[in-house]
Amino acid sequence: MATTSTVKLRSGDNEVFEVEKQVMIQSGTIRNMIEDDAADGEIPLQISSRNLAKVVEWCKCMQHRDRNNNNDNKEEEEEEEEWEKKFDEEVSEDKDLHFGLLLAANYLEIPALLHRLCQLAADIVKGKTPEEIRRTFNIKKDFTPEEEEAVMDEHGWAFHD
Amino acid sequence: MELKAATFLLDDILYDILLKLPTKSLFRFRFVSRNWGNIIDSLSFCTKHVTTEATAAEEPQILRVPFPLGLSKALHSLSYDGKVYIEKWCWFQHMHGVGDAFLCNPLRGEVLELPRARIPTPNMSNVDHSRQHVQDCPCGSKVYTLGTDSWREISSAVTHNHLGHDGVSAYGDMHWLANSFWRSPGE
Repeated sequence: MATTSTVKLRSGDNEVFEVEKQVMIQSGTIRNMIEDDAADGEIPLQISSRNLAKVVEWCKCMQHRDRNNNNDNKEEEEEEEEWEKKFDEEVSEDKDLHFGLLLAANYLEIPALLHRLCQLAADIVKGKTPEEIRRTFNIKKDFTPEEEEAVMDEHGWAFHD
Repeated sequence: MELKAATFLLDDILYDILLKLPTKSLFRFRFVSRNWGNIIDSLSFCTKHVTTEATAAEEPQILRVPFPLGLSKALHSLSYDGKVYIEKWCWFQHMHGVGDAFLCNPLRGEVLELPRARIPTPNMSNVDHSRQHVQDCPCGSKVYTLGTDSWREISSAVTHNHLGHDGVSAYGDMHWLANSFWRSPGE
């Protein structure tokens, strides 16, 4: 029985966020819980308070935008665009935040947020070399030097502008 | 999960990020690690990447190569307008004689020879997003469908067969200029 209009989300570091259900139904995971009447207590999430706060903020902004889609309020529109731009910048400059939000958006099933974050990630990595990618993603090189040489012979062109 | 956030990404997420990258970046990133290579080389990824809107808009989808180009591995660095373009699907046809048509996917290094369409001297072709290939001729057009490996006749939107040879690729579609003074090679 869904009696309240809000849900309580508990972050991994025990901070509780009370958010309108209308906002959080953008998350497939939360929406399912609400539909199953499993969202009346606190919902524990393996997401840090910093990242969860950002997710909630994003959901609020999107819901606000969707609700106002029909009226032509130029000022509000510009404000929202400004907010999104700031969001993009902040995420792009902070790898921990970016990766954390990617995992959170994936776990919470928020397709629009995931799409946006993936696009930002693609824009960032697009011009990098494999070595730079390994550093960014903390990946260990598992090719032998011989294999690498063969690759450069055949695909060297892809490594130059 | 959260603590490790900065050190690894789930393959699902990685897959989504890679889908948004241009082909040239993917060529390099195959060699980041075996895992990345496996994702990029997988058939499902490749198929999805070809049809992803973001990449389709960014890269030309079709390339015509003027003259017999050996079907060697050199396909991946086709030169076009002085710049190297990496095509996901290139279609090319010999400009002289009856057209042999090939579908190439440089990302996978695959080339598929299309069966001849039984129509006289094809002089025009078109590729759309559903990866169907149209050949126009004085008497009609045929569509090649990958799944069934066959040509079938369609009612053509182009009624005129005097088309220029050098089409221009834009947003995944090939465009030709029609001009009544041009003659097709068979005439």
